[in-house]
Amino acid sequence: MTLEPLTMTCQEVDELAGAFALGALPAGEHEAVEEHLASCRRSDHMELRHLSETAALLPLLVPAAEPPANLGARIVAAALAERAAPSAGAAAEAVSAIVPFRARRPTAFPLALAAAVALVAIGLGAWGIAQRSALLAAREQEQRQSTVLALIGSSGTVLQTPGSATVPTALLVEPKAGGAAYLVQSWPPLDASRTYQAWYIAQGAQPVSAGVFSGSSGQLQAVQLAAPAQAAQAFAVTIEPAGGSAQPTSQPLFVRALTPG
Amino acid sequence: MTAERSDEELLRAIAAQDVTALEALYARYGGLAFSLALRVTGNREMAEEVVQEAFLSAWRRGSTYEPGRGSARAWLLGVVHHRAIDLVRARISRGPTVVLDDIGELPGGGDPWPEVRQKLDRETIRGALVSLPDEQRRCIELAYFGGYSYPEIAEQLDVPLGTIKSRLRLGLQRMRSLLADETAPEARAT
Repeated sequence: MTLEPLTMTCQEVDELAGAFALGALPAGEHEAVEEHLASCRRSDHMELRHLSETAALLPLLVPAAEPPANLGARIVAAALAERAAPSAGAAAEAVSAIVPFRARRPTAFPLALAAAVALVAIGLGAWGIAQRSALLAAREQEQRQSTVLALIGSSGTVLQTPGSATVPTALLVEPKAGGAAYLVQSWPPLDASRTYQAWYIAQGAQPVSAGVFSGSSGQLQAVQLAAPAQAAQAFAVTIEPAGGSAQPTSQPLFVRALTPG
Repeated sequence: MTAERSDEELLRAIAAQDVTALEALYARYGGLAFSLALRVTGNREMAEEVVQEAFLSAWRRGSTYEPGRGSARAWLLGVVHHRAIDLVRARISRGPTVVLDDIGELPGGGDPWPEVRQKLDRETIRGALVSLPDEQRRCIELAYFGGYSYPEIAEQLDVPLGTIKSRLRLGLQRMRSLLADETAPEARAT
């Protein structure tokens, strides 16, 4: 059984101005006021808007509480995950497909060799959301996010890389436990003749490859990279010929300092 | 150092899926939002959930914010508050309802609300709230910090619904008027 939506007069809305501003309307009435505000042509209901501004000062009176240090990074990761959510009807894919990492010349890169090299496609497979109920879709989205969030949540450091004309923002995650780093990205795939290649850069030394990887066709993926050496000060990604290069041969898509902030 | 973007500019950028704007908005309001959510729910996990969902809501629905209808700050904190209230009403879990005796440091560190802080310090806001008639103040606290709806407050206090509606409205009107006096320098300079 569904209830008929309430309709309110301007006077009724004004009488509820304080309760609305304070979030004290029961379900149904709040929506009815919002609906009225969205469509009312007789009044601008300035009192209600003013009282809402006054109510928005009240949070300054609550005792201070420190949010978890990684909450901001989790929110950014979840937002990126939503942006990367696959379009409806895309082909179904495995949740945690492990794709072999294409290590380039491993003998030349002991760090890269030491790292377990694998491309981990996190659970952002296209699930045919459109065909499912909204509830199911929401639950799936939550699952996809939580897989990424588990990685972020376990991390010691999460750095956001700058977006560019070629690639959107990504997250570089260095887990607390050390070892491999992860680049959480949803970058466009490149044609078969080219590859993305990640680099660690230290002052006075040549860039060191962190690994090569392909794009992710709009899905969020965590690419496992070599752990950064102690001296590494910056992280960069270039586009290189397939298989990768010994040293960068093109301008970096971005350079990100390896310090938080 | 580049000029900081206003709250409104940040919300517009967020609506255009600028993740750096989302970060900046969180840096500005994350602590305050978390403190508010924790105060209403009394539960850290719930508060985290509330804050995350509120900021993601800005990410998804930032474009629905209309500057003509109020500040971005009021919009964002309103989303946080509503989500916190939804949770406490659904799960019957609430934070303590006493509020004014326990004001600690400004929530969250970071950069909370500089333009408001310039005009109104918390003692002024607190002063405006405590100067209200007791019954108005009590109703505002139960509603805003306790998450009770006005019919619930009416039942708790055993007074008519209309009385509670009036107390909430008149109390906020009086607070607004007191704070407007505080922020009008000319009014006191002459």
